[in-house]
Amino acid sequence: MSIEVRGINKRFGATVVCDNVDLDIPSGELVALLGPSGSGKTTLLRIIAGLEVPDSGTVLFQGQDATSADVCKRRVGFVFQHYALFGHMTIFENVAFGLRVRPRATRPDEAQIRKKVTELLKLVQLDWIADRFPHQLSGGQRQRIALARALAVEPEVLLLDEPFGALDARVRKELRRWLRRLHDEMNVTSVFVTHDQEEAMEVADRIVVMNHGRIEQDGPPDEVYDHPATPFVLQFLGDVNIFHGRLGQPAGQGGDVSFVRPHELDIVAAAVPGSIVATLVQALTVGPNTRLEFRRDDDQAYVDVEMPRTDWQALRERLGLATGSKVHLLPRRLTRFSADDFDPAAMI
Amino acid sequence: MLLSRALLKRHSVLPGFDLALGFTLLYLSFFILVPLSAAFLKTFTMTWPAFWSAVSAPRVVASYKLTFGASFLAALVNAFFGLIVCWVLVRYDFFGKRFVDALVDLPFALPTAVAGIALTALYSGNGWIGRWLPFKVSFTPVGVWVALTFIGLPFVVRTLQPVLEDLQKEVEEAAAILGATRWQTFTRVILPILAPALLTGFALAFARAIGEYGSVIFIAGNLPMISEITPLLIITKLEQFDVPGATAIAVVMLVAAFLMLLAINALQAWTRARQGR
Amino acid sequence: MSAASASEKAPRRIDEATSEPAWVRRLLIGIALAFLAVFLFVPLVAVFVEALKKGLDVYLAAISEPDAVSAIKLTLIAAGISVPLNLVFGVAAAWAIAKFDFRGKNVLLTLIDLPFSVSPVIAGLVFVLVFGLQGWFGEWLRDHDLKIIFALPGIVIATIFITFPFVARELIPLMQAQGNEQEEAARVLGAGGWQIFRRITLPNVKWALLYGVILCNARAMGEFGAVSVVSGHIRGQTNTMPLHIEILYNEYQFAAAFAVASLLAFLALVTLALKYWVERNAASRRQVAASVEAVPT
Repeated sequence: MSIEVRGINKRFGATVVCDNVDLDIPSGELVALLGPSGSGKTTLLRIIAGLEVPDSGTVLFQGQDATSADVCKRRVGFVFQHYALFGHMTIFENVAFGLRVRPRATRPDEAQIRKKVTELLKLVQLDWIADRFPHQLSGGQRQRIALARALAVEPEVLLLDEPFGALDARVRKELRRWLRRLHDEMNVTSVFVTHDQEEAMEVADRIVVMNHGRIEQDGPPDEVYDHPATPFVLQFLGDVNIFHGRLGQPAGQGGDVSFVRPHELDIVAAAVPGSIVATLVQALTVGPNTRLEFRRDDDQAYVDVEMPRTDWQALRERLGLATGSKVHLLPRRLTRFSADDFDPAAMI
Repeated sequence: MLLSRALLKRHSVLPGFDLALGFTLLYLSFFILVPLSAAFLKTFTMTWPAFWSAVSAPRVVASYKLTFGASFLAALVNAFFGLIVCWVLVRYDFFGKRFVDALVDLPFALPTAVAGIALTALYSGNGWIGRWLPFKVSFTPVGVWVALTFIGLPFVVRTLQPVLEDLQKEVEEAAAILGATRWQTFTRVILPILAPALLTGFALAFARAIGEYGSVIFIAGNLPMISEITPLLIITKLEQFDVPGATAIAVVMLVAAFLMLLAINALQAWTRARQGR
Repeated sequence: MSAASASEKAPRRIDEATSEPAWVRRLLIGIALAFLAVFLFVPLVAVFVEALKKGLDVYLAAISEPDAVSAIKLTLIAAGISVPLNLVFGVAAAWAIAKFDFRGKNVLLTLIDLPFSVSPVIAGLVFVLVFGLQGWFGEWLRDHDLKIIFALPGIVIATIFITFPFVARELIPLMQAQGNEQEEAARVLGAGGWQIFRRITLPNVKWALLYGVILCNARAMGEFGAVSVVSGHIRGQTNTMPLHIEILYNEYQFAAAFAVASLLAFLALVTLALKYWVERNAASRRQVAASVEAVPT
């Protein structure tokens, strides 16, 4: 089922949380709403779910206006950040809940419920804890049950609100992969909210970057990373160095702001057009990569460079580099925005 | 010092444990332990037949039936209406809500004798409420029940309030999204979560009602075998200088109260374990 | 409804996922208010109406006649002794229970709650058993010409028993929720026991403490059952206000009885008003904190 969002506006008191948001989500896609706190992503998700009412605008499911449809009739599944499992019911009853509360006419009988619940528990690989209670489960297990519960009613849309936010880093990584695989198998239109750009890039078919209630960019992960539409998107997805003015000229001149990602800077032996002179301050090797901190000679600004550790080791040998060495840095790729588009306050 | 070493489970850097606990224990011993043991020891000076005849005389048994029966009904009514009152106070907004919220504590703050004479005046034959009722309230068990409902009212409301306030909104939202109607959400999700606190409130109201004296004796009329409550019988025996008899009945009530306390504690522990808290 | 017009006007208001239809809400509010009115509000109003039924002169005469005055005095003295003692107890017990982890804590808590589950008449009875003429100390007291039962000390002791949990019960949950961190930090910085208590703990619990004292006082002044047993009902000497009310009522002096009762009812109202004020202070602080987290993003 496709989702169309048209002109959604929402404010809480004096704060505008959603500012004229338009969005299209084709059927079967897995979309991430990515942004910092306060960007409006969770509110938008809840409006799609029917948990919040927009001040104006519409939500269409498969072309039908669903904006004023009752929450319990929308055929959406919702997974909460803190699971919201029913603590007084067993896992089995939690998953069966959506089936049990169906009106008598459409309610499946006990055998059908049992079959469906067992099927779902097998799908999330937790069929062995059907008789336990939520408080006996770990965070990761609870979230998988929450997902099974949402899927039990065969929703046409699956909405997830920071589903892995409350979990440990390792569990988060596992569940991310697992969610991707699940989506590939079931092909339900899914939208999930996250503030973690790594998560968005790893899991989603498309990323919708939001900031201050507005959509900054909407596209596949590669496109959003490599061809950011605004400085905010560039800076939010991955690390970036910011240069004011044109490279090679003193800072503050010229109306442009340039951005270079740390792994897109080369260290060269001699000056070339477009390069800058900098002094090595620190070299930190973390895992597979080395992060180098340089200080520009002209305006003393810091520049970060990143490269695989083996590359750094080879380079260090070849050029005899150590703390305090002067080098030339050459950006392989520059993204430039005019100073008007660049709002430092919007950066985090 | 001694107390710290003997009792502390975990070392603490904070001072004052011995002083605070020592004073507390001294105070409690003087005011509770010594007097209460006196009650039990006094009954042990009675012979078993004497004790038994004192606590099982027909008039006394009638008072048990009235006291426990009316208290149970009063607590039941308080459980039902207390739930509604609590729901309304926590979930809705209306003019004068703050005033109503404060008023709920009136039975705590108002002296029992004042409540007693006020209720009597209201429910007597020509009282404001009594004149509209087709049946007699004063001098009957119904009057006793009215008074006991009054004093038990805050227990259910105040026990439920924190639980209802802490109820996660997401759980209700989850139920709604899964297709439950509002009534289904209430009966299948909200009520089970409230049940332990509701039970505790009921038990507290019940326990309080059993021992109540001041608010009841005026409206009850204290007719033997009809509207006499057990605490009154204790006083009657005392006025007849039958101290052992009074003590015997008191022991029966104490045992009942103790069992109730145990039940409440066990109930709370069980529900806490079940919900993993 | 076409998509164009739908987006131009605000959508039909649907009920939020977690609230009841309006008619249910109104019905529930109605039931709640009716129940409270019948069982709480009307009796309260009745006290004042009955007190002033025979006019202001009768009212004033009732509360100024000698027996009434001595009853008021006795009530005030009894409360004046019990409440400060219970305050000290409450603070000590709360400090021990909330800030330390020790064996037998649950037993202690149960003991503190005991007066709530014991009938006040039984409370009075046990003190008679201990201090009465036939009691444990009866002989000793008579020999030394000390009167406890049927005299002021007995009334004070009974009152203390009935009301000592109040301060402790207000403080304990609050101090437990607040934890030890601030006090431990003060300790590490070198503060002594009393300093920690005065400068750190006390300011954090002052509102709860105030409310506990007020409640304790209201109950102390209004205690009836226990005092009824130990006082001996000696007019002009061992009658507290509640006992005096009973005597007046049994003598069919209804207006006078209600007049004295109205004084206690007024005290109850002051107690409730103070509670409301204390909670409003705490609530507004909580609301500010909550509103910061409330806006979903």
